[in-house]
Amino acid sequence: MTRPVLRLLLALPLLVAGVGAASTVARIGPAAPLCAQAAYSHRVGLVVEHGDGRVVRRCVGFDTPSATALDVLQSSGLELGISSYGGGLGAAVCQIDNEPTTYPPGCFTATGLYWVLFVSHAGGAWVNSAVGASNLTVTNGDDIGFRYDSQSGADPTPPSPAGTCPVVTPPPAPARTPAPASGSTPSPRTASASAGATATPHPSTATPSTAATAGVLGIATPGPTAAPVASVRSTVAQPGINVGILLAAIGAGALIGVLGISVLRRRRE
Amino acid sequence: MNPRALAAWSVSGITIALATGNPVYRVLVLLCALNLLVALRRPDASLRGLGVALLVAGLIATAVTTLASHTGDHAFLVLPSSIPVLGGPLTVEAAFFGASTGVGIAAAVLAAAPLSLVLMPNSLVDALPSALARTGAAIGTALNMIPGIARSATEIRDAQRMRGWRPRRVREWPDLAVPVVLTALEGSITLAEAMEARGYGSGARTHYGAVAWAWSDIAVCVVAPAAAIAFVALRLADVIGDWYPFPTISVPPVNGFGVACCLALALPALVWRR
Repeated sequence: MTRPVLRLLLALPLLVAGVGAASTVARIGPAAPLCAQAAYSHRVGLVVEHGDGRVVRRCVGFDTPSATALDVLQSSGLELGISSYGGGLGAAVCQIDNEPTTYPPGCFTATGLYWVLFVSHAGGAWVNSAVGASNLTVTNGDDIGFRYDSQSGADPTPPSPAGTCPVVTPPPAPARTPAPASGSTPSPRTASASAGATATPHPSTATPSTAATAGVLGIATPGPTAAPVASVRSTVAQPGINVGILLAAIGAGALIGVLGISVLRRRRE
Repeated sequence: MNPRALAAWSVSGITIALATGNPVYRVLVLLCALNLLVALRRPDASLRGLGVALLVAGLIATAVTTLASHTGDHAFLVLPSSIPVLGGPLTVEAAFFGASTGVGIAAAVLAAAPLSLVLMPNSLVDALPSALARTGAAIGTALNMIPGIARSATEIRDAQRMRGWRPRRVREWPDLAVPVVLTALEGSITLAEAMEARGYGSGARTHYGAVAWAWSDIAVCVVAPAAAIAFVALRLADVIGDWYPFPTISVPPVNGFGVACCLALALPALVWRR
């Protein structure tokens, strides 16, 4: 009598699992809009191509003469996870915009995919960076590209950065205001506050904010349709009930139940 | 049950347990293997020693990962950075990753355990292809000597103690080790002579009786490898993903088809009887 019951208990989750659907949730969000103007003296375009082909573009502004690719990435508002390459190569980018979902301590996942870093200087072609993001310096008019790609084989380049930031001419040296006394870490500001409806392809003509502070980076947002960082992040679909977890819980429960019955039966014997 | 079917099941279980770092699938394989072991193990085979060994292995894996990996957002203790390797933050994420590794080790070992705890050694050797019969017999004989040596060591230690032997330093341990080694050599020679007297190595291995294939054996032999192949295919297609708790702990991604592949390993507990 016990055995048919045991079979039923084990067969039930198997049957349910057999008709279970894949539980992965497609997470496709609209590409971030392009920037048109910014109240920063220097700007760098950021192009991030996900493994599924989704492309995210950001135009990041800053007031310092140069910045690192890591600074740009951190100021873009995209979710970020980093580790260290070691040996003076600088920071390895493990995770951008929640891809991959998680990563091992050594950064690189067993799938063999990783974020390849490219740089385009002054509108030139994409070039694979030989150093980590924290050691790659960019200046006004440069572009940074990240592509989630295999560690083996060739490294296809990300989409062209054209249009991510409008053509930039070197701006005149802005009249810098004295740094605040405490001013080691000023609060970041985003250009969304200054994004106007009249986009101009020559941001060098934009009047830099008098509050501009060296070392502060921000997101240059693209005019009237600009979305703040918070809303860009909210485009990620929220996962619903995970069918796989549900099936696993049912299956594990059935297996534990049968295991308990088996233990009791063996003890009686 | 057919030993070859059980071997196919073991290989399938090990494959699934090692094909992913996702603890959910590993736990399911572990539970399937435990069910098989509890229901079908030989009456003279105990699970206590194996359980203790796996518990220790799991704890070691957790401790080593926690101490050596300083990745993760939630630190519960910070060791001074002056300590080599161990210095730095100890994180909850690393502890979870170590525990997941321990579960993987346990699942793989438990998937292989039925070969020694369910089958008789001679059944296992019989199940080997003829080309591997002699090698299998030699390996099986060698493995069988391990418990024999342990018993011999215990007996010799007791005998030495009765003679007043009280080891205090390492240099006194040869008093025990030498008789144990000599006894083991003597036992090996005796065993070799016995095997030779029974015709070992004189020709193809003969069998007292042919091992039949029941429908349940065929079912296990088909379903378990098919589940493993499907699981690996899903893994290669990235439908089944790995899980890492870094930078912060998250719920492992679980796919329904992957769960079905793992639960298919419970089939022997359904169809086989001791």
